[in-house]
Amino acid sequence: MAYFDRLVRLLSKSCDRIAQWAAVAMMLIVVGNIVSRFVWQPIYGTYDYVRFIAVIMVALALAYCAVQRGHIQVELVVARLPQRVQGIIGSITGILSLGIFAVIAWQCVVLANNMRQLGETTMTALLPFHPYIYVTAFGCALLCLVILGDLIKSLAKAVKG
Amino acid sequence: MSPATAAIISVVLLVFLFLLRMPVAYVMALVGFLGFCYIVTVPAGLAILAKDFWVMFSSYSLTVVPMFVFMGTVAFYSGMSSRLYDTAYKFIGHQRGGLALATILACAGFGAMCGSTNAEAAAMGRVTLPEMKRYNYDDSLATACVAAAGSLAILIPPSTILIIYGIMTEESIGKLFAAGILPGLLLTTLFAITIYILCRFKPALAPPGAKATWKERLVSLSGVIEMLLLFALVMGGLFVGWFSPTEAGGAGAAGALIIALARRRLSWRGFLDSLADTTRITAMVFLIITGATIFGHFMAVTRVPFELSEWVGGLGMSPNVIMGFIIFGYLIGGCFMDALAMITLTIPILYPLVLSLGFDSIWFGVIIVLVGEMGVITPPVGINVYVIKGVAPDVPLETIFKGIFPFLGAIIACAAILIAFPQIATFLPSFMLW
Repeated sequence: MAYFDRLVRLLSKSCDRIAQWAAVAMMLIVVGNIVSRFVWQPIYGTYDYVRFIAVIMVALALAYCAVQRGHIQVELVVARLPQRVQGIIGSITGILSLGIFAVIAWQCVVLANNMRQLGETTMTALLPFHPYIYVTAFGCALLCLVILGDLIKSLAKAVKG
Repeated sequence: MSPATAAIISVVLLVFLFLLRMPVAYVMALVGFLGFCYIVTVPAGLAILAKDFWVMFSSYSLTVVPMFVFMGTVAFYSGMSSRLYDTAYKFIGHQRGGLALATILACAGFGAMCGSTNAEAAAMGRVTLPEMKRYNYDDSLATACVAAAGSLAILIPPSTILIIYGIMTEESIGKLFAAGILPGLLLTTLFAITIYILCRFKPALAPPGAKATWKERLVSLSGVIEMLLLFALVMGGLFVGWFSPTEAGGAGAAGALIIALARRRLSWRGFLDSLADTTRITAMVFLIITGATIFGHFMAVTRVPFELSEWVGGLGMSPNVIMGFIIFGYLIGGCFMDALAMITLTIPILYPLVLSLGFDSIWFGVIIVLVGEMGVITPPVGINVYVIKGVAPDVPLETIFKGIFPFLGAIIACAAILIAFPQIATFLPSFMLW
């Protein structure tokens, strides 16, 4: 379990590092486009590049945000309950969370496959959509692993108290 | 089961799962998906789930969020918050209540660079609380004034909440930013008056600090100049029409980095930390908006928001009274839920009602921010209070909450003034063409 936890943490942190540099890339492209527009002409396809950098940034940061408990949750009630009850509640919500994000990851793969088969691209830079939808699916799948780790901990708490 | 019944059950389920500590974004996505499957079909529900995730993650309008968050984190890690406080401190710190007033002014200034209320409370708390402690300020006043003034970050542009409101309602983010300026200054003044009144009746709450020389004061002005430069670049570019909101955020982030590097105030560690904060906040914001979008699509197919607005419209009550009820509802909801979560959840339901009552959507955005500000300081889930508790662990939570009430009164007074004089919010946006 400790090994799985460490692995998921390492993987999500590495992905977050990529997301961080994506933020820098986004800033550079946006500012580069402003400067280029003033002195000559806009950078062709900036709109598409910025959108797809955002996909990389958000999808790859989702899991590490969950590791850091960054997603907003209401702490008011459960924190006051006994450990075992917290474990049971954590197991139920963990299964529900895992379920929804597994479905999202799966459906993103389905959507990406469709886009790939249809050869859909953006209008200006002609970038294909599907690689970035796969990245979204990967980000959701990684989030599933984080949720799974938490679920196993909650189950152990529910059993042992 | 009728769509309206399904909608009511889904809202009950939503609140129940929130209370079970399931992250708000996950709950909205799950309940929205299940509801959509029930009302329409399962394949339609599956399709909208992936589509909404893809559309929101690749939304150009949402890229304004990471850019402004990056600007705020760079401003914080390069010490701009402490330099602003230093300036305000040197000018008014020697007055009775001066350090608390300096805190309010520095928070208003830092609010012009930072759009997140808890980030501002954390940043300013670390800077201001040790000074107020040094001069024997009352713990309750010192902690509460930072917690309350930290909330100015979401009213004074750039503001994360105004950005999200703008995206969810397809309203101009530039106009919303403009709308936040005068109410932000009004609330800063009301906070300052609150401190003045408190100190007038109980001078022991806030003894005077040390007096600075005019030379020290003039030297400290560089802290304000860099803030003004950044604000002029971002808001000026946005107002004049040089930048789109994302470009304004990108230019702001680059500007903050250039200032930090020119002053040699940003370490490599600080830069990496600012990036880490940026991705964490961005992921949280994107996921919660995506969850709210899925839930909003479900609400739209139930037609409940439209039926609600028809029903309320048929009651024959004055729109201002209904707005009073809405604000009261937000005030109560804000006691239990994070402002961002509450706003993203309720906008799809309440926005059609507010428009049908004849209220200006820009004005309502500012009102939403004000109620969000109340939410971040009211017990038991006032996030800013917990942030300040983290900065000052020796001060009991009850002490901070006790000090909050006069400032809560100031925010309520600000909301009342805005209801009476909506022009305060709508005046500046009227000069913008887009």
